[in-house]
Amino acid sequence: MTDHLTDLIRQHATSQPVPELDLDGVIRSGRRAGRRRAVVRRSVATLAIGAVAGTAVAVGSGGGGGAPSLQVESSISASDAALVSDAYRTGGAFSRGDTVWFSDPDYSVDLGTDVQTLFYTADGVVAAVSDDDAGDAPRGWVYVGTDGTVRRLDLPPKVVPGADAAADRLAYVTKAGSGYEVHVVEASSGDELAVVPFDGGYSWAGWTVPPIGLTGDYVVVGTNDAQKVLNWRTGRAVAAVPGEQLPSTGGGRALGGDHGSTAYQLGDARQLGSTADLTVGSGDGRWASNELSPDGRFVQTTTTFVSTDEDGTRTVVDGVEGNEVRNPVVHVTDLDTGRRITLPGDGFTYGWTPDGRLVKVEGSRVTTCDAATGACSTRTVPDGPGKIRVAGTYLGS
Amino acid sequence: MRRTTEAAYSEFARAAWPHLYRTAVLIVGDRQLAEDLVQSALVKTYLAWPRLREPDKARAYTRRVMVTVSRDWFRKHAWNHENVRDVDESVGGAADHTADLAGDLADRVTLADALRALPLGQRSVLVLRFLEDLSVQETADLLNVSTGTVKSQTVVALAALRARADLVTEGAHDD
Repeated sequence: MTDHLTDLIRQHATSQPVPELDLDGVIRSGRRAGRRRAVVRRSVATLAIGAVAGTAVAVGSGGGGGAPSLQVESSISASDAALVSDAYRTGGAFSRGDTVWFSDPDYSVDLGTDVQTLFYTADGVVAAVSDDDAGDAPRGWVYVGTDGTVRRLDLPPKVVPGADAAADRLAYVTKAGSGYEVHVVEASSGDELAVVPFDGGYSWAGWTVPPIGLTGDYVVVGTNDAQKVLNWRTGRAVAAVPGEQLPSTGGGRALGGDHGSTAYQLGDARQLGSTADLTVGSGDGRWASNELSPDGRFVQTTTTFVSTDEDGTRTVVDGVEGNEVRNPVVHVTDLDTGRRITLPGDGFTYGWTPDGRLVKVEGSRVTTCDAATGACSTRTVPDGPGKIRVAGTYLGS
Repeated sequence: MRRTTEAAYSEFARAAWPHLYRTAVLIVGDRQLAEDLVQSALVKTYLAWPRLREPDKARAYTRRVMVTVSRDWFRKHAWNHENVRDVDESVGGAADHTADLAGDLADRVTLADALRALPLGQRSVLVLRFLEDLSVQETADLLNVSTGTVKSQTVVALAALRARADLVTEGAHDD
């Protein structure tokens, strides 16, 4: 009897006409979702445009022949250094076209070649520059200090570095035989400080080497299954941070766990706080995007995706069912107190300043918000060609 | 995703699509919903492909996503009696109504009605056990319920189908 019923169920199923699979649509949706997931927003923007597509970053030669030439003009004098440094820490850094400025456009440096991304370090930014926005031309790396100094950095091609907003350092990974090596570099001089070999599986994302974060004495490497944590001074591995993701680090901490919703103290991987209650959906459909501030005090959480159509139309949708969200918000959680604020915006609205404030750009208006209180102030910057990019904002305004 | 990896995913999606779609139709009882469900699940599988890579793992993953998402959809829409269109819309078209075909049509239409009348949980158990050929344990893991629940829901669901006299054939025996 049961056999008859089960046969009927099978026959019923196989009798169903099957429509054609819209495979192109599925892959398009997958690529878009992959870009959104890959861009875990950080105050140190680590993803080049090519990397966001999920493929290996084709950045060409880092500092040798073929790299863009620099023609530097700076408005910063030696006597401005302290003022510029303060402005930078509290107001962040921006770029427009070939110009970098530290919070105030009066403190600007023209590089003569387009700036693609900016990484925060203690006393300046590391800029990825290229003559070609499409990424076909070789990419170069430049350090721009708050004292107006500019130095070309001789980094290998195809690196996706991590930088420490509280130190004059950046780190990147290269392949070494069957394993990898972490390189820690003094950002202002380009001098290599340490090379640390490590083994670990890596296949979950499309770059040629795993992504890396750097904070204090620790590097956090985005290997398979869990993030490997190394003390780069001693060369030793310490407790790993759970979760397979782009590292989000700052203030000696890193995010991990499901959807990066748990903050861990590096060294012993002690759990510090969680935003798991903000994750939406259930089972395999659960979703949230979490990002740590550069000083490790705050976590910014979004549960929406930003979809951009071929004609450039931008739509914010919820992360579970894809329904449009008209008034998206971001949540900012203070890890030490547990207090939380909510601000209007989506996953690409806010970047960070080096000292943990939120910053957003809308046209020529720059708004900075206190992550603890939500109090915001807005200032206007001069108009100019091209979009303003904030360190930590993929799309800028 | 690298081109060769995407080609492997495409091959998997094309091959898996018909069976996944049919499974989804039986679970959700609506063709359009089934299409949306499987395509959503395939998008998630695309994202997870770098760590799945093998068709069997990918198929199991996609099935898990389908089951989970369908339950969320039903919960959100409070579908106690799934308000779905007749699944067999194409049945009864310009077909030649021979006696055998009429009998087959009656069976299929009746089975569709009978399946739609089952709660989602029972329907899911039947589909996973007898269409996907999963074991009791595998079905329990997928639905996040106990094996006892799977067994009892199987018994209840089959009894409900058995109660439809037109689904019973001569010489059938009870299990």
